[in-house]
Amino acid sequence: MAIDLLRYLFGALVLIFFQFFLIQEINFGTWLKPMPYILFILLLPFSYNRFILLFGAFFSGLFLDGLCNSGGLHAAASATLAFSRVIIDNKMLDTDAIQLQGFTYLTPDYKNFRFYALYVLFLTFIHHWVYFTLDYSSLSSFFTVLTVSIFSSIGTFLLMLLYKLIVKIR
Amino acid sequence: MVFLIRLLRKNLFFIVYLILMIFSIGQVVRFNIYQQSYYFNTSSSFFNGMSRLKTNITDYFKLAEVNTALAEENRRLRESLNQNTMLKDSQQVLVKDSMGKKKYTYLTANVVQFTTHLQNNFITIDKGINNGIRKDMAVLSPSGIAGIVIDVSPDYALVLSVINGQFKATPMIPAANFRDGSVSWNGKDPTIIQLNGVSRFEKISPGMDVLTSNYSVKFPPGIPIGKIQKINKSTGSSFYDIDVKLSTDFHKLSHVYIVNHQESSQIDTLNRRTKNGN
Repeated sequence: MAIDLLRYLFGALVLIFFQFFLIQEINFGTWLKPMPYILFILLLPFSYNRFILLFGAFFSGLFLDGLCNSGGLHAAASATLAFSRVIIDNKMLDTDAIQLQGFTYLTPDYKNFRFYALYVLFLTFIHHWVYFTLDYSSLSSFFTVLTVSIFSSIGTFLLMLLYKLIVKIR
Repeated sequence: MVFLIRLLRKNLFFIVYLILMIFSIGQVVRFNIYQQSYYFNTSSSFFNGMSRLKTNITDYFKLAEVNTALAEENRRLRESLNQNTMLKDSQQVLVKDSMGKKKYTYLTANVVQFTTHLQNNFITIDKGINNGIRKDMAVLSPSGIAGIVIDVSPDYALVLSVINGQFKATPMIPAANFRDGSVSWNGKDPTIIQLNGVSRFEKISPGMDVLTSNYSVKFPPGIPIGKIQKINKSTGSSFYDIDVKLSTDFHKLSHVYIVNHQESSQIDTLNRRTKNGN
């Protein structure tokens, strides 16, 4: 358990530095601002206490905020992501059954790829929507926020798949 | 009481989430309104060290562009040298007095950190109070304007970038003899800034240079802001919506100049006096 936790911490640090040193430096365009670092929140096992998930997400967001000098944007968005993941896992997924089948977290091998993509895209969209709403912080730019969130979610999802291909995650 | 505790325990997860949310949104608001963040003031050494490491790496990838920009700036400065100009008319006499007082002095600094992907973008530079940086000083890049210093620590300073919703500057368009309006960023494209307050009777066209105005207190006059790219005529308004292509590429920022206005304190005193009604 403790070794596992350290491994996840290391993975989170790698993803955050990946975001800070590489993704943030690439100019994808006005509408596309992907944030694939949230992958590690989606990779935490179902068996973990929900408070570990929440605080883990929050403090990693705060750490990235410190690096990017962006106030508390990442912290708020990541905490919301962890919160919604706990709610969705409890209400919509039968986590015990999934764990009995040998999955520690949701992968494309469970059910089918479409199910996995829907799960990840929905959670990613929540994160991005909170992030951009706080970033733009005005109601008049609601549709701009929505468009940026949708495009960025798709970009983030593709980058996550790429990252998973390159770095083989157990 | 028992009921309350039971309610609290049942919703503990939600309450903890709420507290974390309030904390982080408070940080965002604090950062946007007072333009100072907890991280910048207290734990700046670690985070600034990380940012330094990042710029040390990424600066190498920008070398070619930075060199081009510096060479272009050198060309511009060489052209403006006095020995290049010749008096055209015997009636016009240019009085250049060597006893004149210098109005602006310049300091150089390296960019430690900058963002372009947020709505409120900031630049951190590696000079602070110890190097004579003060609040409200203008910051220039080799090719144009870059921002205004808003917070200083002993060795670092935080700069409000041009591509920040709160930035405002007074422009002039010499080709159209226009000195009014303001430039500000609408948050969409980090290479485009918006010029507002230009009436429809002004004779402007795409490609004209937009420079900082001589009415500006912070910026020296004649510093490039950008070139007019697109002129939109919105219906029902007597003003143009103008897109200006920024001359500073904020993705490639690595060296900046800080402008020290020698008489800024006098202007400040005057402004304060008028505000107080004396």
